[in-house]
Amino acid sequence: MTQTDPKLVRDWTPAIAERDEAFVLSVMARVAERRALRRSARRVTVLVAAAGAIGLLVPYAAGWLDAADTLQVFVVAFSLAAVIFAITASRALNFARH
Amino acid sequence: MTDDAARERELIAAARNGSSAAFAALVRAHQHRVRGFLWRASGNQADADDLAQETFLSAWLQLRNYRQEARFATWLCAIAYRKLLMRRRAGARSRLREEAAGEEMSGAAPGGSDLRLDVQRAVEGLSVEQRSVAALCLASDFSQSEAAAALGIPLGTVKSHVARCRERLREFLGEYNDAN
Repeated sequence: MTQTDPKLVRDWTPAIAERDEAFVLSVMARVAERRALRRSARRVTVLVAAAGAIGLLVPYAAGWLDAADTLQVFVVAFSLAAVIFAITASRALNFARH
Repeated sequence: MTDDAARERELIAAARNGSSAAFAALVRAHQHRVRGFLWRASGNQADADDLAQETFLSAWLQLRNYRQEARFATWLCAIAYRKLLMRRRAGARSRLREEAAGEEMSGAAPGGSDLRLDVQRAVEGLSVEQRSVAALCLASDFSQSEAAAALGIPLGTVKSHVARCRERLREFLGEYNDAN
C-alpha cells in the first residue's frame, strides 16, 4: 500500500464532490449570520457605553453626585454591564451554533 | 512557492481583510478534504458535514491567528479534529446518533461496494485518533509530521498508528482480494 492509496481514498468514503456549491453556500450563510451578529453586538455595546457615560456625567456635571459617588456608581454599573454582556454573549453564541 | 500556494496566500490575506468571496474560494478549495477527513474519522456523514461547517466558521473567526507555519489544509484539519473531539465528548446524544448511522452504514451503505464495507468495518475497530491518522496519512495527502501537527500528537504515535492501520487494512483488503 502506498502512502496515499487512491483505492482507499475512493472506497473508504465515496461521494464527496470535489465541487459542492451547496456546501459552500451554507458555510457562507453561517459566516454572514455570525458577521451580522457581531456587528449588532458592537452597536449595542457602543450604545450602552454612551448611555452609561451620559448617565454618569450629567449628574456629576449638575453637582448631584460628588467624585467618590460617581466612581462608586461607575463600578457598580460596569460590573452589572459585564455580567449582562457575558450572559447575552453566551446565549447569542449558543443560538448561533444551532 | 507554487502558483497554487501563492494564490492561496493571496486568498487568505484577502479573507483576513474581510473578503467573503476570498473565504468562499478557500472553502470551495478545501471542503472536499475537510469533509472527507471528518467523514473517515467519525464514520458518519451527517455529523461530518455539520462539523465541517463549524470548522469553516471557526476558521473564519480565527483567520487572524493562522500564522502560515503549516499548510492551510493542516490548520483546517487541526480545527476539524478539535471539533470532532469536542462533539464526541459532548455526550450520549451524538453517540447514539453515530451508532444509528454506523448501523445504517454497515447495513446498507448508500451506493456502497463490498470493498467499501470492508474498509469501513476495518476502521470501525480503531480509535478516533487512529482513524484520524489513517484518514490523513493513508487516505489523504498529509505527511506524517503534518498529521502530528494537525492532531496535536507526537510523530512517533502517528508512525505507530499508521503501521497499525496499514496492518489492519491489509488484513481486511487481503481477505477481500482473496475472496474476489
